[in-house]
Amino acid sequence: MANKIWSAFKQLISLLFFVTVISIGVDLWRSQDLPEGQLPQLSAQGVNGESIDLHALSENEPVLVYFWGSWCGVCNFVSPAVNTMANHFNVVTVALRSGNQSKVQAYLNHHDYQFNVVNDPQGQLGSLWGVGVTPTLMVIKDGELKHYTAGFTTLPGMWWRMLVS
Amino acid sequence: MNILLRLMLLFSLAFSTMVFAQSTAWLSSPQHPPAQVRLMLTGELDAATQRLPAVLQVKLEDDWKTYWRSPGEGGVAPSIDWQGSSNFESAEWLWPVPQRYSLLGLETYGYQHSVDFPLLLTVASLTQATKLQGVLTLSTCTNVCVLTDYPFSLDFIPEQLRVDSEAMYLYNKAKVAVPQVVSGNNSEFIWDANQQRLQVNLAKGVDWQQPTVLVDGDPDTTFKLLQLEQSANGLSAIFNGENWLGEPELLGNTLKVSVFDKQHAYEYHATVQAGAVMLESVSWFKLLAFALLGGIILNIMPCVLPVLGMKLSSVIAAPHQQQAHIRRQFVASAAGIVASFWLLAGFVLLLKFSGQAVGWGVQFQQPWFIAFMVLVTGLFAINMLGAFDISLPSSWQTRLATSGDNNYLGHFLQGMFATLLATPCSAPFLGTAVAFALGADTTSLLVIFTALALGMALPWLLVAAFPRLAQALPKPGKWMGTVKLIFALMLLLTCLWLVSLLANYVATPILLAVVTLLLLVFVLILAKQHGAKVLLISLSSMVLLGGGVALLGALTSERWAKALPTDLVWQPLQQSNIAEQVKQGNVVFVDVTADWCITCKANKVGVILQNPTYSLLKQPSTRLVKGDWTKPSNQVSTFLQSYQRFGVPFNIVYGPAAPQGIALPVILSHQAIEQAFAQAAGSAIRIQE
Repeated sequence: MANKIWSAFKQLISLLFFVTVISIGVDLWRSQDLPEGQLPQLSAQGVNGESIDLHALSENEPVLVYFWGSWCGVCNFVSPAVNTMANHFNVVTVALRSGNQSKVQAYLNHHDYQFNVVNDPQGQLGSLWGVGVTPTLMVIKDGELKHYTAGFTTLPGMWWRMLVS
Repeated sequence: MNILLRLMLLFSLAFSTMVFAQSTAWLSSPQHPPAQVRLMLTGELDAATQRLPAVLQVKLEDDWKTYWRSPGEGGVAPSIDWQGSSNFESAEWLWPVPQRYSLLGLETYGYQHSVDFPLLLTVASLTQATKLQGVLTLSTCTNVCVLTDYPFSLDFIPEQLRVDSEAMYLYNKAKVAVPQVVSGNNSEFIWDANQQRLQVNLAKGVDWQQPTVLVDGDPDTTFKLLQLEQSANGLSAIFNGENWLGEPELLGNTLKVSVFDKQHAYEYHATVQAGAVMLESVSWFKLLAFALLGGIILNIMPCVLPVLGMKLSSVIAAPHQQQAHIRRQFVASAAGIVASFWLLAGFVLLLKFSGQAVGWGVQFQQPWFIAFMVLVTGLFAINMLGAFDISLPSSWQTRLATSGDNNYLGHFLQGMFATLLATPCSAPFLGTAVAFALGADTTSLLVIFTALALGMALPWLLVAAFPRLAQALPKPGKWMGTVKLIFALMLLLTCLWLVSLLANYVATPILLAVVTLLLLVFVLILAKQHGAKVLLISLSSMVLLGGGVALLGALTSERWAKALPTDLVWQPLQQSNIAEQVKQGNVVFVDVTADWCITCKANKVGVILQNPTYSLLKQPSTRLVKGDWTKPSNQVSTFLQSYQRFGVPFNIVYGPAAPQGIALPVILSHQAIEQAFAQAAGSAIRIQE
């Protein structure tokens, strides 16, 4: 019996190990299209009319960049955390192919999200940045990409990535 | 010669597809390798409507999913932008019935692995050169979502299309899975704008078996099912309507209701009217009373008794305890019970949010849980013999042995442990309360589980309130040793029962070794603690008792002397087709059971395998179906949930007069089964007359 429990424990550990390795691998695979070296410019007008300049924002402090879509189910779990992050850090989000300005605005109102949004109805910003997967989170500091991850990320996970950047 | 001819034919075929493309190749995007799509024209054409059937195939790897036309709470349906096409008018997209997926409480509807969409393309002229050019946008999700574009282009002249038998086969196969549209005034849609609720009433027509009901037709409004009822008048469902662009405005709009089960799939269209929608309200008073009662009943579950006994013997052993002390001990146990129920509630919530099936007692479907309980009962049994007072280091002593002594943590653990042992069965009252709790929101679930906990803790709280009750117990004496011994034996039996449950997961030789070891340790400690004489007495009394029971059984009733029948033929629920059997005029008796469920065992031995029920089940027109819930099974869980049940035992009888089934009470009786059989078979007999 003890053996069985021990082997189950070992299985769990090896499973955790493989999940970690695979998720790192998947992140690397997904990030292969990412722009290398100099990051593309991201200065645009937000949905609320405010002007957003990523490079200026990231000069001294890290900026959390979040690509999402109103069509993305998983984003429903990540967006609230990003919304909380926006109260404490610089956050820039990009709404990928989520319809026109007023539709994105209605979506934000419905969910009560306060973070600023650059609307990207045709997905041009997405392809410029090499991001086709939502949710995608990046941490950018001094114009450099510090962290990259796609998929479900928790609030502590984001916080930690911002702090170490 | 023959080969040459074939080669020529092959060549000409290949050549013809190059200039005259009526199908695309499998298209994939380098950015998103897990998805592939293909558009094929079947080659048929309907001259009257100028429509060409086509099929859009989607292949997805692993657990990638794409979506139905109304994806639910997340996702977006696939779509085609036909810009750049010529001689093309429109495309009608047909949607096969989707699967329901639940992710962290969000419900979506879509397809996994593969799906084929039938399309009907209308062209302007059958004789002109036609260009189908467009971009298919496919949304796929796992734990991330991707929107992928697939540009395609096909050139052909409709008249000159060849019939592609593969595409035709795929088209027709896909079309079968598309709900049939029902027109006429057999449906009624009522919208209550104040409550934002939609009621759908469908006239009787189809005998639905666990149907899925979906509403769509208003862009960006999602409808979430609140209540589904089937009655003699038909099917009635109430939905909550929510639109993220603002308040839904549905009055006068035409909505679509899709209803499907394993056999049928229909789509009803109707205009929405205004009206009041009344949701059947739940009586909280009744539910709480049921939860309390159900909790109290848990105390007399056979496995909980020894734990109660342990508690009592610890009180008797120390008769001069202060009242305050006894009070605190029992409050600690009660707190343990409550904590344990919250633990169970947390476990259920975890299952719910991860989209898995929930149920009562499902922890017994986990071998590690059973193994843990074997360990704990084993330790408690040995502890009852007083083993840890002597043979273990003192640090262990305080941790383990005190579970029967003055340490409050020990009492707390006793309470927790009693709860975990009490949960394998559903019981009267308990079932109703649990069924409501598991289907309700998080707050209601916690409230009901707390009420259950309080119910179970009630006897313990009673002693806490009146500690004199404990002091009224007889003074300790030599008889105490005997009582303790009996409780130790009861705990040992519980432990052996738990070991037997592991037979589903662990090889028999290992189990036998465990049992032998357990018995050996028990006997050795018994001998060491109580002397060889007591060992001999207890062993011989066990043998005597066993023999006595056997003799008594043999004398009292001849049916007990006979071995229970084993010749009932059960078909597994997973492979059964209840509707088909009922159509053929049979009565179907379904027994959902689990090895770890004691009530199920009692039902089986006491009712199912006894006459008159046994002969009813043996009749040639009776079909027996068994749902085994010993290990997690999605199909069995879904079956239970479709009847608002979340635990075993569950029995239901179907027949020509009751195709929707007659659910039986948790504790079976011959009378209830006979009535249900008569009622289920009823109309068939009448029709014959």
